[in-house]
Amino acid sequence: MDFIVAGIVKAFQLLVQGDRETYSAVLATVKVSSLSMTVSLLIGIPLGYCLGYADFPGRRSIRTMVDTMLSLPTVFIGLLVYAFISNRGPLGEYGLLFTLSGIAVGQAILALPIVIALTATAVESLDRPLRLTLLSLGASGRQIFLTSIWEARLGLLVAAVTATGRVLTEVGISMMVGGNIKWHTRTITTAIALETNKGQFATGIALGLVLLAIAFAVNLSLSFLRRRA
Amino acid sequence: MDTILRIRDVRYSYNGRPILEIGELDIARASITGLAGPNGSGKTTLLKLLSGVEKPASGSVSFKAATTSRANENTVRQRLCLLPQEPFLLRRRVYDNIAYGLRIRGGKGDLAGHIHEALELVGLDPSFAVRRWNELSGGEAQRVSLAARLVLRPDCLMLDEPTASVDMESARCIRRAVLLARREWGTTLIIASHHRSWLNDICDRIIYLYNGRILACSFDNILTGPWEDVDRSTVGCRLSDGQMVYACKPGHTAGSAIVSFCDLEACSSIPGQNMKSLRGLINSITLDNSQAVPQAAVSCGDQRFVVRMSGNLQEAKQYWPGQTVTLQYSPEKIIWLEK
Repeated sequence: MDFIVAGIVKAFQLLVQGDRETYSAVLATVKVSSLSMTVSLLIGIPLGYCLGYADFPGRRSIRTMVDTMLSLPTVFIGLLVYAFISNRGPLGEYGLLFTLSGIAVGQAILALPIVIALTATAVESLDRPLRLTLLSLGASGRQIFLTSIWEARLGLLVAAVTATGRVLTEVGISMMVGGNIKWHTRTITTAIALETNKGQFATGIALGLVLLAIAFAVNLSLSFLRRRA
Repeated sequence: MDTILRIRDVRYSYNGRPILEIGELDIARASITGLAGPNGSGKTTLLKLLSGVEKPASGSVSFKAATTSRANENTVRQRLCLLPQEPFLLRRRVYDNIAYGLRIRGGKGDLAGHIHEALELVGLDPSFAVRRWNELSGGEAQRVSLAARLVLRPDCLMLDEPTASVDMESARCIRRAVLLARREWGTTLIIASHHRSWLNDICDRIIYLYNGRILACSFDNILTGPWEDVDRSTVGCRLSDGQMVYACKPGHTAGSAIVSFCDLEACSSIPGQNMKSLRGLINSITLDNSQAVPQAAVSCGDQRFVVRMSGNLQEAKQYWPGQTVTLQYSPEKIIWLEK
């Protein structure tokens, strides 16, 4: 029990004193998760809108596929991305292996099904008369899309929060694709895994607290947005 | 006639089931057209087709002589406005709901002035502008929805049961606002409603729809059956008061049919040759708005018939609500409706 208490105390010391190694992992995590979330939201929201709004052959099958991909194991995504971006892989020439960009690609794949599925659900649950109302006011297809997205904003916030949580806490992709390289691709979660293996519980707990703080900040800002919406 | 909307050979079906079939329909500019008909007769579908919200499976809908196509549908839809039956407001303030149509048309400048004017038009105080969508009653929401359309000053405004679920005050405000739009801006109005006296009062013309088709007369005189065989050539529909309406047996299974009556007779008399008669009670006497012909609504049991009175207004004064009268009809002239 003592080592846990000592770990919490040391965690505050590391954070207050501005430990470079800790802050390097924090910065890498913020960078990579921001990048992956931006990509997954930009791609996932329009796709989720189409899946929830349009009626086309095979829609149910695609929805089942997307729902299945919600359970994709992070190590499996890591393995796939590794295979594609390693030197022998089809995307090897882009040099993404052991880079933050490579991790972001994997995390975007992890977040994409969450964003698509929850956006589709949010759009499906929009009031039926919305489309008729917008059409009757003379809205074009693009204006209907933008207004529907705005009307479904609370559902989209939930999608963003859920996907961010998954991206922030994953280990498998960061470890396999990033390689856990100190000062370079070491994220908070891979650092915690490493420090725990080394018996450095204090650093691990410190990083865990930072992760919690980031998650809290994200949720706090989204909660603020939800109140304003 | 200066036609603003024209329909030619339009068919519309849903899941393979035909919903609407209209050969020819012209709507005159700045006119008020009423759409009447029972539930499921195709009134809402016709409004959606006319407003460009839905597209016909075949046939054409033209606005100002230009057939609505993919190329011009946005432009056309921006000149036409439909007020759906159920008021729906975006999850925003009243101000933003009314401003929505103006903004998507690139409206800038004094939006607030236009919005306050539209609110006053529908009998709401401009202070309503700051209310949120969920702080309004049903009648207020319907009036805000109407204000969101009136602010656009459309060439043609279509209203689907605008007073169906609102209180009397809201219904009065809605009626006043749409009539003002016609008078001030020459807006063409097309109104679908079950509120017959309202349609009779304000419409230049009433179109009766039944089973997706336009009828030549009021749908009051439609008998839906069941029909029973009377003899080899005659079928009959028994009314709730025991009287029977006779008709010549159709070639197909007897379904719905339109009964046309000759005239009212105050006293019971022997029907003429090839004629049959029914006794009924006058419910009301009104004027046919378009031709100023008096017409009486007569109840025979549960069935209500509308009979146009061939005499002049002076002669019509010999009848009064509550009076028992005889209706004569010719079984041969009963028109069978296609299923």
